[in-house]
Amino acid sequence: MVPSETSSDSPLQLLVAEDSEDDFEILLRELRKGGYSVSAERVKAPSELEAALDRPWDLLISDWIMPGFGGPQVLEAVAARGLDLACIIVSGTPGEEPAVEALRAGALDFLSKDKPRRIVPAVQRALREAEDRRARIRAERELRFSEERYRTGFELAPEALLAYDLDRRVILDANAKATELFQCSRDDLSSSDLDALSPHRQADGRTSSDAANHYIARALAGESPAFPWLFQAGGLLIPTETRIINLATVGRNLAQINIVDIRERLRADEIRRRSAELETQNRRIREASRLKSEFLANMSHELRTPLNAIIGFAELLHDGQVEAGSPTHKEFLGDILNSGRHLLQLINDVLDLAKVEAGKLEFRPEVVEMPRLVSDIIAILRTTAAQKQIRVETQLDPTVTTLTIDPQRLKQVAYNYLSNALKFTPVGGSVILRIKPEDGDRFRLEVQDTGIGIAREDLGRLFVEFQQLEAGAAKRHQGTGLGLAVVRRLVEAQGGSVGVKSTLGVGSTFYASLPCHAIVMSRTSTPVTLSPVRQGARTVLVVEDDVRDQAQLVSALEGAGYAVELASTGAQAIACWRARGYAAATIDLLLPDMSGLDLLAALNGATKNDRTPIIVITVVSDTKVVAGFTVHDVLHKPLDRDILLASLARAGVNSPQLEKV
Amino acid sequence: MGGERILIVDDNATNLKLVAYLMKAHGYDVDSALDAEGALEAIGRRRPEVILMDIQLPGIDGLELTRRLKADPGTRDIIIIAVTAYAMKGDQDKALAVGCDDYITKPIDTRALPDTIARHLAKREVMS
Repeated sequence: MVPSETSSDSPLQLLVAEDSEDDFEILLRELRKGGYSVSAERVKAPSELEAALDRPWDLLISDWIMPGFGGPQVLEAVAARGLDLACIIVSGTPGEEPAVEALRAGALDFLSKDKPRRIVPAVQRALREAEDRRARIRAERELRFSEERYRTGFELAPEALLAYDLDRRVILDANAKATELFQCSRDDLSSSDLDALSPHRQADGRTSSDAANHYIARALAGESPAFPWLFQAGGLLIPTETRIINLATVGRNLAQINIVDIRERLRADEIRRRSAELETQNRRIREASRLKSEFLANMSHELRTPLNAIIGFAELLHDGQVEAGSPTHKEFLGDILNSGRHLLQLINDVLDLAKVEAGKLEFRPEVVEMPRLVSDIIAILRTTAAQKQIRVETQLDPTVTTLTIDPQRLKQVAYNYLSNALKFTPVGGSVILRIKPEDGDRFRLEVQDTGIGIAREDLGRLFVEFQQLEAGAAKRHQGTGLGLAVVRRLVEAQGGSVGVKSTLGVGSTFYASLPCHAIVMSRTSTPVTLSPVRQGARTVLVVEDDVRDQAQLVSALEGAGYAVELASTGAQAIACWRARGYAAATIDLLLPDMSGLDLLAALNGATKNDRTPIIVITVVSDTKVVAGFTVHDVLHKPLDRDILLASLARAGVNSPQLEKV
Repeated sequence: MGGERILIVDDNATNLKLVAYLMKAHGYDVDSALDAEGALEAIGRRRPEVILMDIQLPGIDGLELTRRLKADPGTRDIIIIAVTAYAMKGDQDKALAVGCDDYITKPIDTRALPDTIARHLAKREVMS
C-alpha cells in the first residue's frame, strides 16, 4: 500500500461488505491502480462481518444496500464494538438522505458506485482523517493520563504540597499531607496566604510577611528558592524546609510549594547532639579523674619532701644525736622551720586551688589605689631582691591608678610573679612590675625579668599544677609547683587571662589581664543581684554557668546601664522567672542541671514574663535547635558586646542610658 | 663494721644534709650528689658499698641511673636503696624492677635507716 502516510510497506488491510463480486473486483482494481497494495476480505452477511471484525483492519468499505444486510447495520456493528475503524460507504443508488444517515452513523465518506475514480482520493482522505483522529485521541489520552498522574502524585506526595498563585498571593490547592500538617481542610487552606499559616516572626527575627515577600519575589524572578520556614498550626510552631518551585505556566505565575516538616529530624539532631555532648563530658570526667590521681600522687610527693626534713631533723635532735646549743643544732632547727614554712605555703596553695576548683573562692572587690598596693607588694620582696642585688622597678600608668578589684588576690598574683622573677633572675639583674591599661576597660599587670628564660616548648606547662620546670642540670628551684597554677585560676575566676612571653637567656614577661572594675562572682545557691538596682534600671536575667561568660555578659549589660541578675543553673533560672518580671533574659543552652531546651520549654510555658524576650547564647552553631520555642534571638559564643546590645534594642529593650538621652 | 663508703643521691639539699649527717653519725664514709651526673662522677672517684638513691632527679632519674649501674659489671654489686617521696602503689614495684635492693619512703625513719643499711651490708658479707 502506498500513498497513505499511515503505513509503510504492509498492504492495506481492507474489509469489504459487498454482495456483488464484480463491484468488489472493481473496487480492488481501482485501489491497486491508485498505487495501494491491498489485502482484502469480502463479507456478505452479518455473521461473516462479526467474525471479520474480531481482526484488525485499516479500512472498511461497505455497500449501502445488500440482501438482508446493509450499510447502517455495518456501521452499527462497528460502533457497537467501539472500534476505531475508518468506514466508507459506496452505493449504487446514491441520494442525499442515505448519505446524511451514513455520515451520522460514523462513515467518513459516502460514494457512488458510478464514480469509481473517486474511491482512491476518498480512501486517502479517510485514512488520513482516521490517523489524525487516532493521534488526537492518543494525545488526549496521554494528557489525561499525565494530569491524573500529576494529580495522584500531588495528592499522595509524602511531603506537604501547596499549589500557589504567586501573582495573587493565594493558595490554590493543598494535598492530603498539607491538610494533615496544618490541621485544617483543603477549603480552609485554599484562598488563604502563607502569612496566615506562619507565626508573626521567623527564627531569624524577620517578620513572616517580610520574609515571604522576599522569597516570592525570588520565585517570580524565576528562581526556585529553598529556605527554612516556621509555620504555625494548632498553636505549635512547625520548623520546615520549604521550597517554592515556579511552574512558569504561560500567563500565570503558578508555583508549587514543597514543605518538609523537620521536627523529627531536629529531634534526632538534638538527641545526637546530646549524646555527643555526654560523650565529651564523659571523656572530660575520665580525664579529670586521671588528673586527680596524678595530682594526688604529686601531692603526696610534695608533702613528704618537707616532712622528711622536719621529722628527720627533729628525730636527730630529739634523740640527742646533735649536741644541744651547737651551731649544727641551731642550723637543724632552722631547717625544720624552713621546711615547716614551705609545707604551710604548699597547703595554702593547695587550698586556694581547691577553692577555685569548687568555685568557692570569694572575691571582695573594693576601690584600690594602685600606687599603695604596688608599694605594699614591693616591700614584702625588698629583702629577697636586696640579697641578690636585683633592681626592682615599678611602672604604673596614670590612667589605671584606681581600680575596683580584690586587693588580696591581686597581691597574690603579683607576689607569685615577682617571687618567681627574683628566683630565676641572676645576681645583679632587674625586675620590672608594670601596670598598664588595655582595651575594653581592662588592665594588665606585667612582671618582666632578666632571668634564664623559658624554652618555647615548656611555656604550655608553666601554668599547670606540679609542672615545675627543671632548670638544666642544676638543682630544683625551691617552690611548690603550684604558684602559677593558682595565679591562673585566680585570674580566670575574675574574668581575666594569664600568659607569658619569654626568650631563653634574655628573660621572661608574665602577665595577667583583668577587668578594671570587677564583678562579684559567686556560685552560691541563690541568685545574687550583682549591683544595686538603679531606679528605673531594667533588669536582665543572665542564665549562664561559666564564670568567664558570666563576667563578660554582666560587664556588657551593666556597662550599658542594665541591672543584672545571675542564675547559674536551670533551676535558679526558673525560680527567678516565676518570681520577678524581667526586661529580657539571656540563656546559655549548656547548663549543669538541665538541657537548655527543657529550660526554654519551662520559661515559654510560664505565665509570668510571657512577653519577656529571650536571647539564646550558645556555642551550638545550628540555630535550628531552638526552633519550636519562642526565642527573640540566637547569638553565638564568643559573644560580641555590640551584637548583644543591638539584639536587646531590636527586642525593644533599650538601654536605660540611651533612654536618658 | 664501720668506715664503709656510702653515696647519697638527692636533689633536695636539705634532705641530703639530713641523711649525710645521720650516716656520718653512724660511722660511714659519706659522699653525696645532687643528680645522676654527680653520682656517676662520685662513683668513678671512689666506689661506694651502698647508694641511697632518690628517684626523682633532674635529667636522668634515679630509676634510670640504677638500671645503668646494675647493668655494669663494675658497679653491679653496689647495694642500692631507693629513698623516695613517691609512695603510691606501684612505685615500689618500679624501683625493685630496675634492680634496687630495697625501697624506703620519705619521711625516712632516722632510727631504722642505719639498721636497714647494716642488715644489707651484713647479708653481703655472709654471701661473699
